[in-house]
Amino acid sequence: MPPTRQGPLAGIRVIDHCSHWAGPLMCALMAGLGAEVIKVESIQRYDGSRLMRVCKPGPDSHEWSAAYNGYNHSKLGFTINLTEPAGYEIFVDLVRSSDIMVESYRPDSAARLGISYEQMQEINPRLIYQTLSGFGNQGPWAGRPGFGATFAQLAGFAYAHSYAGQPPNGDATIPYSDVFNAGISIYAAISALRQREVTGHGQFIDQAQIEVTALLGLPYLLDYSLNGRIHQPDGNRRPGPENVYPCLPGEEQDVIPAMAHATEGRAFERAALDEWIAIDIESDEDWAVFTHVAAGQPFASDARYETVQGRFAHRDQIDREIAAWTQQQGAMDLARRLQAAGIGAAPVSNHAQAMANEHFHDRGDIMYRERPSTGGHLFVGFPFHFEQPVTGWDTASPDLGQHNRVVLQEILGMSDEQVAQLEADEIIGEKPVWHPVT
Amino acid sequence: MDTYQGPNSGLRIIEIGGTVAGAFAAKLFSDLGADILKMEPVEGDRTRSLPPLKTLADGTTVSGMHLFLNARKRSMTLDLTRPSGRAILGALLAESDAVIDSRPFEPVEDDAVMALRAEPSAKHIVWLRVTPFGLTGPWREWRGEDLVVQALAGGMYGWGSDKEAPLRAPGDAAEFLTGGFAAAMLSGPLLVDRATRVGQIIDVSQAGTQILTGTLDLTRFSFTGAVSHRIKLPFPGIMQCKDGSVGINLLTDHNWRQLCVMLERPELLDDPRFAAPATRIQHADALFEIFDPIVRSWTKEEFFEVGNRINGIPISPVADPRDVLESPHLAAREYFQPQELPDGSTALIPGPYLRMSDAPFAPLTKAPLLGEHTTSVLASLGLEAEVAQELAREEVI
Repeated sequence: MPPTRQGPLAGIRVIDHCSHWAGPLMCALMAGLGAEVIKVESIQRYDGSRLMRVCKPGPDSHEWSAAYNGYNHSKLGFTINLTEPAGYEIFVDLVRSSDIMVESYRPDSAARLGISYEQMQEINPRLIYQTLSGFGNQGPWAGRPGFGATFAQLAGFAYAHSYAGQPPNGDATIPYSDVFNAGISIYAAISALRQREVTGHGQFIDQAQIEVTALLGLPYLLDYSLNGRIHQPDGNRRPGPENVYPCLPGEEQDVIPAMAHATEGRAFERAALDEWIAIDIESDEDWAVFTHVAAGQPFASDARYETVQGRFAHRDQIDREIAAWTQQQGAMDLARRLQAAGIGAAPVSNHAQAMANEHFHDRGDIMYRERPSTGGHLFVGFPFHFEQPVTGWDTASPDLGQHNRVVLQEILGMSDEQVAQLEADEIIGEKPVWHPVT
Repeated sequence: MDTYQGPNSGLRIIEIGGTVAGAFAAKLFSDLGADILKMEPVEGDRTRSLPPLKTLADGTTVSGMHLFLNARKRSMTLDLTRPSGRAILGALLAESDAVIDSRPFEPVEDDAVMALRAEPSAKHIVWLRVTPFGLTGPWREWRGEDLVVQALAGGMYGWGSDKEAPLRAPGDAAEFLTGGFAAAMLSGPLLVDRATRVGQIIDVSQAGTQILTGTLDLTRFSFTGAVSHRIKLPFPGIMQCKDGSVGINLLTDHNWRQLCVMLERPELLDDPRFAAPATRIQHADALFEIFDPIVRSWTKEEFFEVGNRINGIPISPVADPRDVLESPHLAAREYFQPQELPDGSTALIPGPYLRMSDAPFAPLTKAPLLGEHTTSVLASLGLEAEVAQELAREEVI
């Protein structure tokens, strides 16, 4: 059998038949909690995230996707062609001994493949079947296409991600939508496990990502619901003041457009990186401490700014004055001084800085792992910490089909000959038969 | 209390700290049947004053976030900085399963509230600690909320425009994200019965949780050494159409080809500048010049109907709050549900964000008044009325 895992989900088997972001992340985190997670792809059709943020072109580019590599830790990588009867039978065998199955198909696709909830429940009544579609199984938009960006836009969340007076930007709402859905889905799956202890059977969880994502823009929705007001976004700014201010530029670094999926194109321009600091003043007491750190600055001795009302009334002026001060300082240096005085502040870390952050490394929130195909790198780690033993993310995302033999032989007890036949028939494999070279 | 039975019925959880993250984690449990006792300082916790506020018939105000976050919970006031307040919490732990604790950071070894874990009657308690930077690590004492933890975590650097500051995720996104994962993490150890459960601390940091939102760019940095910058690609993405903003979202190469055909520019498919994703990035400005006037001649609804429904491209209108409240899809799914306000009026609040076939979503009951359940909780502990009066006189409750 595969190595024993520790944590509250030890002994739970999960079939991860998801693609892209929310579903794979959900399953990776359940693996971190001790579950045995089998990631199901096929050499005819692998997880679409392997085509996103590809970092090295060529025949192995599907192993060099930053998206795939970020969200598939500690899983068993398994390929199986479900559209062939032999492959379908193997999948069904796995479902028979599984506790949770997660998919992110549109509602009709799972039935077409013969793996709908109704079909799987007949095979395994204890199965918890979770679907992470965009719009859910019912309603006028059920079955429509979309991904994180689409749901964030329709849920009112992208509207709120905007600089003051500008059209919506929406960048941040894509990752937040996907990652938030992953968190809620884990809670739902574990709650269903708890209910199974009472009822003895599994259930169907229909998670419509639009309904979960809408909670992220809740203050805006509630203002309209309660007061009929369409609140105008104001960028980073909140009363306090709470805002992001410019600092001295940092070191030169290779840069790439954040929203570019491929690494080619306008990549690797060298630029001196802009640096910024986030500062959060929460009270008049905080302001007094802040002005002490900024002693000598015009705003530090301005009596109009001593109350939150005064600071709010002069918010444009105060932001200009604070920016004039922060512009002469290094972001990290200033953040450390403010924190030492007890003020909430942090540099806006670029990706090089975040991956080197001593605090994150100390907590294991950044980790070093090796993969057969890509070698050793730093990755975002399992960021939740338990007093009792939890395996966490002990291995990096599997290569395509890396654990075919573990799944077929150690879990399902198949012979060498049977596995060889499946390979010959391209029902399993480790090299994609369909692969657009980027 | 109503008679709703859900997957988490039977769980008893105490909520202290009053951040959105902590209150949302507790709400997730409450919505699936758990009993949540919210312990608030005598003046009430912060969720009661968060915007947006609604002015009621009697001139008082109520927080919309409070209505959403605290429905179905019980509320008692208790001053945990005083030994007599902590003694009451200690007595309640014996009959509870977990504490969701989002008070500001304090080292566990110095924390008089967490010292209650040492009592024999609290050995089974799962103590979920939600703090900005975690209970360990060199920066654990740093202060910071939503904006500060987003800033440190790395993703934010790539969001927004390179002409401006990096742009935070809006609303209380970081708090909600942390709360969602906090509930997920807490639910695991609670699978074990109280009688056999080994208590423990779960350490969830706001900053650590936010790192998950930057994973794509952080991993890309690790693979390539390049920092993802806010160099805005004008195409594809959110663009201006005839009556507002529309997301021209293209996930695959196939989507790109579909779009060219739909917008009647099939010749672009043979243009070498636009042959591959990488070259389209190089020529994003040219693509914007071509598509901007075309997109401006279509309406949001036309894009959603023709682009999304008929052609199957993941295009969508950028909905504002009114659009969301009036969404026919969410209306058909009865997503917004009426909740009773303290003055007897009602307001529409998001209801079933999860649909579980064995667990109908709990009805939205009124959010509790501050300290509404203090007396009944003290009575359940068998405290005499005189003792309660004394605690009230000392402003412990």
